[in-house]
Amino acid sequence: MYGKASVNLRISALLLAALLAGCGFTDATNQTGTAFLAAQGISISARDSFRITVPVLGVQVVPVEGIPSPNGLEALWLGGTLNDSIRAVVAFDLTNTTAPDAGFKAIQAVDSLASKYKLTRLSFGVGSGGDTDTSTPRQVHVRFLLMDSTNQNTWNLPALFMGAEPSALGLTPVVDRDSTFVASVNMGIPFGPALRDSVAARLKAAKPTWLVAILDGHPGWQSVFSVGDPRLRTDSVSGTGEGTFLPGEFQARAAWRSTEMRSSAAWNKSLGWWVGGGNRLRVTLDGNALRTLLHQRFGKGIVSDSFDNSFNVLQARVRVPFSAFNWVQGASADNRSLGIDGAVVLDSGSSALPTSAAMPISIQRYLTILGLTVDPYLQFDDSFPDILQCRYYQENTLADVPTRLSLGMGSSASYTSTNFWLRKDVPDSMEFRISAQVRVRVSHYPNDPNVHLHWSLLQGSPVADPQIGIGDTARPETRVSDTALANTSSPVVHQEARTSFSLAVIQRKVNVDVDIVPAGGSIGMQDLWEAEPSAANIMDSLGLIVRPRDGSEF
Amino acid sequence: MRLSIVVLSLSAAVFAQTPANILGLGSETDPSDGPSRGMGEAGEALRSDRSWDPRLEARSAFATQTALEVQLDPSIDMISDDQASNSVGGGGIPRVSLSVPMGRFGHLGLGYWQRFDKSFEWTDPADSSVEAIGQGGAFEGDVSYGYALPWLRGLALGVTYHRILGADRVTVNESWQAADEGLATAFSDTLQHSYWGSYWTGSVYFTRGPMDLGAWADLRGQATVTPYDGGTNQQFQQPQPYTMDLPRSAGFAAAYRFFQRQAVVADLEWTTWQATVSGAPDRWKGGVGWQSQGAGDRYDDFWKRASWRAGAYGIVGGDQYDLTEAATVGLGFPLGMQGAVDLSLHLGQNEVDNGGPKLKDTFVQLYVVLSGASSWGESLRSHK
Repeated sequence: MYGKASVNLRISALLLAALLAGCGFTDATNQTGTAFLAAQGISISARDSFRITVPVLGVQVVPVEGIPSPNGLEALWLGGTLNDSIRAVVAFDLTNTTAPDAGFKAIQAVDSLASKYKLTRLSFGVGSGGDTDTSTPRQVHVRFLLMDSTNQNTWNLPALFMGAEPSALGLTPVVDRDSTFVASVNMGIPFGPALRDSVAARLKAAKPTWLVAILDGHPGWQSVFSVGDPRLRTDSVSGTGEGTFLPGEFQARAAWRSTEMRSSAAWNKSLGWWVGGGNRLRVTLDGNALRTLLHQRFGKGIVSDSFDNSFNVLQARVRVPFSAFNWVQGASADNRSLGIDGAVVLDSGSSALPTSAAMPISIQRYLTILGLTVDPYLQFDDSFPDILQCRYYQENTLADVPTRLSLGMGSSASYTSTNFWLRKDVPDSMEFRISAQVRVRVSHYPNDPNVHLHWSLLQGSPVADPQIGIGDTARPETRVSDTALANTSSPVVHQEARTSFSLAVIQRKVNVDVDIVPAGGSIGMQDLWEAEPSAANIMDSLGLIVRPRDGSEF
Repeated sequence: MRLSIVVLSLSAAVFAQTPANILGLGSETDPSDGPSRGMGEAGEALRSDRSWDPRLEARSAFATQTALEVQLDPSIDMISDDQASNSVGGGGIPRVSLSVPMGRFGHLGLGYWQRFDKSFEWTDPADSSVEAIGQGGAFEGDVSYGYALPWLRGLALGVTYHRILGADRVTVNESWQAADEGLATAFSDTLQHSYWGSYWTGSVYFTRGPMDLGAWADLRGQATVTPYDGGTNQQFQQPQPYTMDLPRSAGFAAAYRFFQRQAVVADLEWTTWQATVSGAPDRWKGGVGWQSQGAGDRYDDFWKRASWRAGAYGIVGGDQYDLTEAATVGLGFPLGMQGAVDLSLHLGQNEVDNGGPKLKDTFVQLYVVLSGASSWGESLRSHK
């Protein structure tokens, strides 16, 4: 009557039918039981949308993240924008026997040839290869310095690279004039007789010498270009690479650097990127005011000692108006954009360390108290009289610190440096992170005997809301301006920042900092722009869509 | 065959039940064995050579076969209130057990009992972007030992250790779609409870002639409940565990066998919830049932070897404020040499009776119970 196979088949069919019975008669979603759940205190509160003034505790202007790039790390730029001059500084070590211009030095070893082939000009091309000529004449302010290659004089190089004026360092240029030139590998900027002969004499005497060229672009250029393949040239040797003199090296990197010389009319509170620098705007949100407002609107919520879990912020659109806006003409509008990210600041503090103390000075104790798993410390030294040199050590090992270019290029492993400089003759500061959680800002001011340290312990890495446009088009930042806009002189940005404002609502014991970060910083460096906010609190209004949380009622 | 059973068993552990499961620890599942499912879940005392019940371990002291039992219960619930009605599918694995007779050394039972079920699904009629989902529930891992007293014929004692563990979780999901964003942003708020605790049950069983009697009672037990909050963009305090007194039950079951293969059964179980859920009334569950046992001769006609069952049960009170009535019918037939398949169909309705808005679910529940038996470990009992 039965066999093993037939029973198995029968049982399998029964099981399958039974299981399918549970699926086949199911409605798509169950919406029954609303009144019952409400009677148990479980109901879905209606969401509400409204616009408020952004409650703010304070606003800071902080430098873009990352240390300043030292010489030779970034490309060499020349130009003018934002009413600033973009300065290129190139240094040639005229008597370095290991320099890449050994061929020329061999020529110089023979006296007759040395007199025949004098170095007469500084030439360079444009573009990444440096071998592209242009026909457009440019007016540039040129200064040439000759410095004996002694320690005391060589120590001036970092300050010159950072933009210090020669006169402030006690240096007198041999040449100091405006020059109109065509960027060309065969032409360039002539030395003039005095410098030509001085260089020749020092070469002949084998006198250790640095020749430093300081080129200032005109602020009105509204453009910036790469100074490619700079070199000193003779008049008589044609072609490239032969009979020319290449830049020297300082601290094992090419001896050049560009910096943007901020005009005296530069905006004090601005957002933007410029050569060698840039500004972020940091807004500390007033979480208490925000919570009070929400509770007044929605009623009592779920509040614990440290957190307020009463609300889900579905949308938080901030309005950031700008009263003025400058950018490099012709640069991509995609790069004239900003991002907003928030970070919970668990702890913060500041201290001042006297630079008159015996160097090096370290600030280790201020960082180890933060509970980091690494043992970090910053060390300042007085190797150079006109700048402050700093190094970061981790576990007693000199560490690579990302420069602002590293972050602009999206790689914390590239474009790093083990030392960085702050100018002493002007207010200067920089900020970087340790282990993603500690922000350290170091500032120095003229005539101030102290270096100022400000640190913040973050709960985690700063987080930003992805901006995804309709049609899944990636929109990682919001554009500050676009050439298609009718009025680009006073743009208004609307940006989603729900994560930042959620954090501000939730955190009851600590503050939330929101950074408005300029996009840019790539090595292409065509995305120079600066915008001046018109609102005292940067973000003048906030459009919220909020729903009280009901999940914790279950 | 074995593989197909495993696959089907796993696939059954899905779907939702009723919003009433939000109350207390969720709906409570009876741990009855396969045959008892068809007898109004009242057959705990009916003597068997293979069955095991985590409450009445003492009965299994007279078991002679090692048995593995797996239960599946696909179901359809028709939920209704004053405004709407919905049908939802449900299902789970209420019980898996292994019964091992050890001859003169007594009996050992091991079991998994999905005691509580928090499953439900609900979407806000006013805002379809929000849904609430309940999942999981505290379950038990049970170890029991029974011993038939050799000096008192027909009397056995049993004890069961219940380890409470598992977790339930209620999640409110919202999909927020901004007009100018290509992708929706998901918000999810979760409240989860994990359970860890234990209690003991003592049982006594007496069988003589046509009469089988059993009784059991739980000792006081406690569980540590750890609530975990979770939410998109939210941060919470560290979980604060608390201790919960477990519900305590006591019950009595009886069976009477007549006309060789006929039997009637009845049970009554009382559970106090007062110490567990404040204000919850005591729970009473009672059932009656009938069974016509199939012929034992393996060469008989298939249908003669089938067992037919019927019954009814009712529930009043408890942490879910139940008012439940259900009728059951069952069919058991042999599977292979010593295995069996017991199918039980429950038709009933469940109402929440707490004075609030009405919520009723009419359910059709099919228990599919597979059991395999063997003579492994069997020895003749001198006291039988």
